[in-house]
Amino acid sequence: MPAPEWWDGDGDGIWDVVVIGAGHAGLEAALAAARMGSRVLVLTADPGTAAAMPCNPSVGGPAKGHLVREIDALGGAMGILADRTAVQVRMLNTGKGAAVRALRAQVDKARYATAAAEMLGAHPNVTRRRAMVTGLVTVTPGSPPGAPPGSPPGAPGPSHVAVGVVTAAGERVAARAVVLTAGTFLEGRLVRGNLVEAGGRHGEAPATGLSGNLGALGLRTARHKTGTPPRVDARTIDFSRTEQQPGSPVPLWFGHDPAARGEVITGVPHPAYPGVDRDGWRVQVPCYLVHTTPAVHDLIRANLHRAPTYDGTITAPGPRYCPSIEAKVVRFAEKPRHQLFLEPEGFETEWVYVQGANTSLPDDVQAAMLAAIPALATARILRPGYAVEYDHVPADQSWPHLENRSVAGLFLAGQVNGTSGYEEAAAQGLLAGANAALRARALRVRPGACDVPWDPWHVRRSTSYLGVLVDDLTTATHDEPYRVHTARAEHRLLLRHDNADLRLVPEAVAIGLVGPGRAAAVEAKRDRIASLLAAIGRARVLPSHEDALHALGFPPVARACTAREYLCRPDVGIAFLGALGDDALRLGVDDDVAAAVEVEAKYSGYVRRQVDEVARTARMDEVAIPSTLDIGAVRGLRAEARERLGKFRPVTVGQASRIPGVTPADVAVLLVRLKAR
Amino acid sequence: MLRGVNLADTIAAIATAPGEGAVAMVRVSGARARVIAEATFRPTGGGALRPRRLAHGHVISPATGAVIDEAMAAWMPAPRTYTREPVLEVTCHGGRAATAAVLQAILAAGARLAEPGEFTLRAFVNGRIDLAQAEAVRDAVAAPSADAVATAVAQAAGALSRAVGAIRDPLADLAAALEASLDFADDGVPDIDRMRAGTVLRLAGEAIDDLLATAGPGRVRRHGLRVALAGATNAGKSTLFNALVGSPRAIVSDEAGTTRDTIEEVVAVGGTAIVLIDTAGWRSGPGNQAGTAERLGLERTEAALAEADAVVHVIDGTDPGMAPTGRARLATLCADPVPVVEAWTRADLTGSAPVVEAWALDAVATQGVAGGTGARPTRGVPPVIEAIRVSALTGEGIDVLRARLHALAVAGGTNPRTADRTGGEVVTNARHVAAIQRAREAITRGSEVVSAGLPDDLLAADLRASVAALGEITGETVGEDVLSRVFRTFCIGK
Repeated sequence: MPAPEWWDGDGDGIWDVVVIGAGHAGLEAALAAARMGSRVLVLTADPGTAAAMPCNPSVGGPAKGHLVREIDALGGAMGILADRTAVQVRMLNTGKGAAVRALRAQVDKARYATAAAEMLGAHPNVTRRRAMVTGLVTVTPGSPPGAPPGSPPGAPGPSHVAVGVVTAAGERVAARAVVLTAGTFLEGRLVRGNLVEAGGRHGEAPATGLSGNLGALGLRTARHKTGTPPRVDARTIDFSRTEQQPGSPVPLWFGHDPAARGEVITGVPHPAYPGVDRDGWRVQVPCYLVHTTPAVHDLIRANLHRAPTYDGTITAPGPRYCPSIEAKVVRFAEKPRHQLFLEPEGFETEWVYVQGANTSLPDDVQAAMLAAIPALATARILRPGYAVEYDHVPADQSWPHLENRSVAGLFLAGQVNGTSGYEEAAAQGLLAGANAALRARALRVRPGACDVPWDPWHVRRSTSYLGVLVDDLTTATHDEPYRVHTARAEHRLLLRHDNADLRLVPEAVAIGLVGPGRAAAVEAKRDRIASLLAAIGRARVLPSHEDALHALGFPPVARACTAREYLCRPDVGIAFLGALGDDALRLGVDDDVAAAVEVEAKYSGYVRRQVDEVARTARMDEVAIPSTLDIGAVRGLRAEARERLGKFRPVTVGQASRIPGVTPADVAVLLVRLKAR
Repeated sequence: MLRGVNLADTIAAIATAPGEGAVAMVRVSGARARVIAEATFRPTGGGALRPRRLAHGHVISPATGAVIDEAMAAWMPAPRTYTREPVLEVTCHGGRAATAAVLQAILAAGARLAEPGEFTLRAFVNGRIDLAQAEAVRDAVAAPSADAVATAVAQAAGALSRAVGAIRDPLADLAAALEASLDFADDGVPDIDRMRAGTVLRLAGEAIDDLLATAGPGRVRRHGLRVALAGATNAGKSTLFNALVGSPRAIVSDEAGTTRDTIEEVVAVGGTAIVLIDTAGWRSGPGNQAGTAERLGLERTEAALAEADAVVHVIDGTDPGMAPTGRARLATLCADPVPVVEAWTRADLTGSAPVVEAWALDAVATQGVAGGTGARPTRGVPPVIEAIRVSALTGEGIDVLRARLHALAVAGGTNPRTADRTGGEVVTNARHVAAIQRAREAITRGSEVVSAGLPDDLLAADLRASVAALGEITGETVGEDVLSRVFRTFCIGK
């Protein structure tokens, strides 16, 4: 369709991609689009900072750590930033199998945000500007774009096309694609006790008006609630009454490419923190475990009537996996104590995050609560915990490539999509930014048009947690902030920490998200895995290896067998290869190769089963449902299926089949209809 | 996990019309057709099947290699086939339960039973047939059935669903505990107790074995309800049999005692297979002067009744006075109370006379369909669940009887000998059996993970597979259900 006159399709006046917000989603969106060659404008309230961490000072963990690895494989920033600014790094779930092994880093919040802002500022394709966006500039297509000529009115298709944004100052900024990463700022409201103030997070004003503007464009918004715990002064904590949780003694990194990592930014830990490891592979500060006491629980119960979530001030649903301390005490009344982690928010800072004590109780109750915990008896609260309530735009209104279905050219990512978590936000930002860039590319070669057909980049459940996340978001309506869990991935054994690059780099290269050098590195890694697998099939473990095996903690063999056979014993790990004294079997610094070989060899039956499952479902995921298909006109669908399919607009038959309320018979009807077209 | 019709599977079904002559054909379609041919068909004189050449040979059990039937087989590579997929067609002796055995061998070799209309659906999806034909498929697949069958299905689904749910529940709880320990390790969620896990798996495995036993131990597992037609000589059993089967098979004459042997025929009714057994009749009246051959026939009748899941008691509608004697006779021949449908024959001769006795209809009302919520029948008294007037000549009542048999088959038409073990719910639906077997395999693997000390992520994969497979019957999806249990049970959120 032709662009409006002010929208100068040839000139420099149009940004390829405008990103609203510079949180974790905004950062990755801007960088991804920039890497793909887009000219990107980032509009944010404070251009000096990016990827702030208003909640916990950590990155990663089960499923979240997997996401960070995927972001890294796709060329994103999060893994690099965490690697550079970590205060402590740990591998979780080490004894529970390769699929759930997950990396987590405590990071220095201030350094992380500074490094993120520098990274953004350093990219030649990115411009940052201070602005508050109050609305989108849209045009109304004469007929639904994409719909064939003569299509009846009301046939599906976007009802608007985003061509830019308007700022609070009244400035109109033209863009080929807009990525909205508003976080918790849309009509944000901070609540603790009877104090209610407008705000997106502590000390920052909310974004007002934009939410209403989206509503006027036909987008449905809903409220979500989340919370944060009090921060306390490290100098007032009795650390002798805590249990220290140290970091990993061996180097661990999110980043696949050491060259991309840059310098590790370390600091001089605040003297208040005991147990600092200064002599290891990096300076690491522990976390400190304490527990609540019955007195704490009594205090909370006695003051429940003053809790906004219980007195009716806040009605929006909060996340089940991140309940407030008051919710824990009410719901799990039988538990005598709950654990709290005291997490330093950085090296030099005395600010300590009380992980597990999310609350919106009044200040006096928060103080009394902490005082009832021995280690915190004299702790000074630097900032009380609070709840934040905000608008989001449920992502069931978006395509799986995160473009809104009603407003073409508008991409949404992060908390505004109804998720929670830095990692979830960052991963979505990357996907949205890359697709925004693809759209901009298509528009750039058609000057004068503001909407043209283009091929979005889709991620799959079978190859990434990002795919699981996006599929979950767009095939169901979630009534709580969405967080990834490894339990959400049905092919968990295939989506591992060690193979994120093998899974994703090829497609990242294909769309220009990362350079071909990464592809070569991945192929080299594949080769190393293949040759090591072949080598252990040939190498023999002999009874004479007993001493060497014993030294590594592995049992002897009574009769010679191949290394692969030996590895298949449940009490044997890949590290035994060191005992064979064979150079071909030497494990390099690349632990991923060893991990992949171990999984392939030991659990081949399981891996094969999941690979088969993926292959079985893949065919359904390849059958596309065109956006022009009028679901209402498909004869033979049950009413419920018609309603569901109309609501979620699946783009493939596979996706349709995963929508609750769609039966196999409906899927068959759909297949028949699609073939008939 | 995909919940739709899976077009990547290799499917199989009896392709010939019900009871068509002396041969039956089992058709297999899908990528594994060739592999299945190699596993289940041994060509005479050895060698391999050649494309599009009919070969003589034997159908063998893929597990034991034992010969099941003499047969002809043809293998056709894609795409010049009905479905445009590789197709195997095995033609075997029709009109016997052996057809079902051939099908079973093929299923055991890796095919799954085709959904109604699925061959045609594939033919359409692969561009082999046109829209008009496909519309018919769509109707077959999606048409809601409003008759009693639907009710019976719902009732049966309810009972089975409860039984499966009871097995699934502890597995889902275990899965939740395990998932919580994997996803929230740092939140103070303890690792699972592997001894307890082993016990949960063992108990679930045993419960599933009991449930699977109802699917027909050592018999037509996965494939069909056994229905015996019994009654006095010359009541019209063979005529009714032929009417139900759709072609003459049993020798019919007006002379009493014609059927000396039991005759079996596999009939597909509404997508469910039913093995119809025509039995030798008993002499009406007190006389009982049967010849030797007929006495042998009666012994076979008794054996057939003992194995039947349901009985059609055929009563001569023109001679209603004989009904009570017949019922008494049937009671002596049936060792256990199987559900009985009374077919009052020769409705064309009795006009509109109310031949069906009121008490029989009362019995229907109070007992309901077997497998449903009705009272359990008293041992020794065959429960009459319905009396239907039929006429082979005009076709009156034949469809009703067919529908009732289908309802019984789907409802898990209940042989109480096996049903006693699980409380009434019986698995006959092939898809359900397949799902339960998949759950069983996953549980077996999970038990091995526990006993071998393999890592938690593998155990989680097996638990998820078992919970998902059972959920296909109870209609629950694994992901959200397990997560809900996690958040309900564990205090998450450090």
